Amino acid sequence: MTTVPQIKHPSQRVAYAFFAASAILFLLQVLFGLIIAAQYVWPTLLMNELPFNVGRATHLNLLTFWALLGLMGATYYLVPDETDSELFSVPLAYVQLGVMLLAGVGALASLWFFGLSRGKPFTEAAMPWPWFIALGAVLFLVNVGATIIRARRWTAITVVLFGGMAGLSVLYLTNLPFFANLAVDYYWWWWLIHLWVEGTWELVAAAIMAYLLITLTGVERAKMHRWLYVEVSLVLFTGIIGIGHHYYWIGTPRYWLLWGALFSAFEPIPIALMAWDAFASMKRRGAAPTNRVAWYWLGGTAIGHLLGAGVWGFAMTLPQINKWTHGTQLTASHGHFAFYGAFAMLVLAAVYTVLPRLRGVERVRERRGLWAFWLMTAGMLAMVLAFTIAGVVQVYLNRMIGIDFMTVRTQYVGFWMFWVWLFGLLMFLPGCALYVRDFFALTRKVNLQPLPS
Amino acid sequence: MSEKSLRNIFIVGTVLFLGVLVVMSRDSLSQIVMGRTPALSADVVAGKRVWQGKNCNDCHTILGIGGYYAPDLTKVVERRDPVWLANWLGNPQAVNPATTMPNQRLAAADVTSLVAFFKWVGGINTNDWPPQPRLNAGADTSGGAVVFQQKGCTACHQIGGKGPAKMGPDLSRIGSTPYDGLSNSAEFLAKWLENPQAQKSSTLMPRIPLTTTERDALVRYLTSLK
Repeated sequence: MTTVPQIKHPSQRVAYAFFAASAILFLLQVLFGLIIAAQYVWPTLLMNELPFNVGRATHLNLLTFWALLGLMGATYYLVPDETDSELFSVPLAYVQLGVMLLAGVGALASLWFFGLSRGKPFTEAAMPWPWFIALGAVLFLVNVGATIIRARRWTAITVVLFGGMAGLSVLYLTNLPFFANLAVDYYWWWWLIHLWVEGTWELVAAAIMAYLLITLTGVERAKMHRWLYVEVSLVLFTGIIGIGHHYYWIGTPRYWLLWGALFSAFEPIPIALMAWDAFASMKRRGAAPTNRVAWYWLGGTAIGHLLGAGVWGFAMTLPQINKWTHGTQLTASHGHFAFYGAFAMLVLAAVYTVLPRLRGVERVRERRGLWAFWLMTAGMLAMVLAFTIAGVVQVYLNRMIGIDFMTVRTQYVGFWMFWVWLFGLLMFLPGCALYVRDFFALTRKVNLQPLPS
Repeated sequence: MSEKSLRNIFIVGTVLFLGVLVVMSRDSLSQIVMGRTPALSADVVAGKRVWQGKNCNDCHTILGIGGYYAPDLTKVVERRDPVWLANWLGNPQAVNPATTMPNQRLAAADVTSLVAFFKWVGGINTNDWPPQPRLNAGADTSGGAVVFQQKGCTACHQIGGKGPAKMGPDLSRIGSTPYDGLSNSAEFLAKWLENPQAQKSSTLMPRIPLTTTERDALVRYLTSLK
């Protein structure tokens, strides 16, 4: 083997365990998604064993878990690099992973076997598991924060990354109390959901993206740092008050119709800037990339984020439209596209960048990884298209013509959900399974390919 | 601009916008509690706990949030009367054997609380959401068939062998063939639609809120089925 990029700091290896857990939970999430999609088509399927609400809660919670574990893994890898020091504590990182996994298994087992739930989407985990999740977040912050403070290296990437992670942890606190008033409850719930995915998670994602671009394209660091600040500033300046697009119809004052529309109309701008910045950096790199799979996921997340979050989100963000589309399959189409584009593809870009380095090689055998990329990406696009048509049909027949909800769901929406299920089964699931297989194959030497000497 | 200036803009701007959000949130929350939602009672809060404990929200939406698998329940009390709701929540299959809603095996007290919760939710000022359908079928002389679809009658009744359920009587010939010894005159059908239980106390048919024009369109449609 020739000289290849090695990790500089052995503590970066903890990323592997986080990525491995993340990959397995990803596959599980897809399996549960397929079951609930099938229930739209065959409503009596597993009706008593796994009712739709339990399947959906599982699908949503696994998504949050695997995406967060992936982002945490990427953070543990890049913070030693950025601070040029070892991680504060490797054992603490493993303890933290253990606490998070315990919380996840506990929450799902409580739901499956005891029917326990706190009954709000994404935050179904029954007590006491939310406290374990909060503990996991605190341990993570302590470990990452102590590393940065000890090294005294607050680079743009570490500032934004730590700010995002600290913010998302603080926001999680809104999930702990019980609110007697449903409208108040959902008011705070949106602080968690919106300020996570359109605020703090965006900061974490932007920081990881900046790190990956610097690592993979060799773009000038100082320039990337300035860009990062411009982008995340615009994300928060539009996104914080942009929370108003969730406050149109939930018992909140009418002024949110104006404020929400105004600010969220600008939310796609920073996302477009990020996509442009990513492609400009990738283009500047003269030579062909040595790790094409990572490269594909990186370009994929730039485009997927723009389309899924920017375009699909904007399409229903104005109150005149949202009044009709709120709470329909159109929301599901946006949710799937945005999560896949902004977070799933980014985590996979990080995994494919980091994994070969942990093994001390530059390239991996690419065939399987590229198949996984195309199967998942084309599968998701097809699913999003089917969700979108289902949503338009639902909005027209149920909301505009006024035909009864269940008639529309069983007679019209179900048909399009069949295609969601089919594309999921024939494309996304095999793509995801290939990724998981590739993930574990990459840890075996035989699948690694040294650089040509 | 230098990296440091950009960092300061990021930090100061974020704090500023968060401050604006906090101020707006204080105002919003006080407006929510002080009139945009009805006063809470112990029953309503108990109902909310049942609603959350049974994870109803991952099939149904409420305030438009949740699963898109089952109907939005924000204004369910405008569509279904409390007696029907209580029967349904107590045992959905007893009302409609074909329904895929699982029986949650609720205690009688839980059912009462849930109904109180839905009544309370129905009183939330949602800025007129969900919107009224654009198609006002009741105003049209031929609109009875559409009202039949809009009000979910097909959930229980078939017409001409078409429709998902067979819970209620097939109405294919209701205009010429009376059902169950009851009259099929326009006058009687109008009264029946106003309040089925008042005409036959044992009927499972819920009282469906209808405007006069919607009711009349439906009666014209039903009497035309021969």
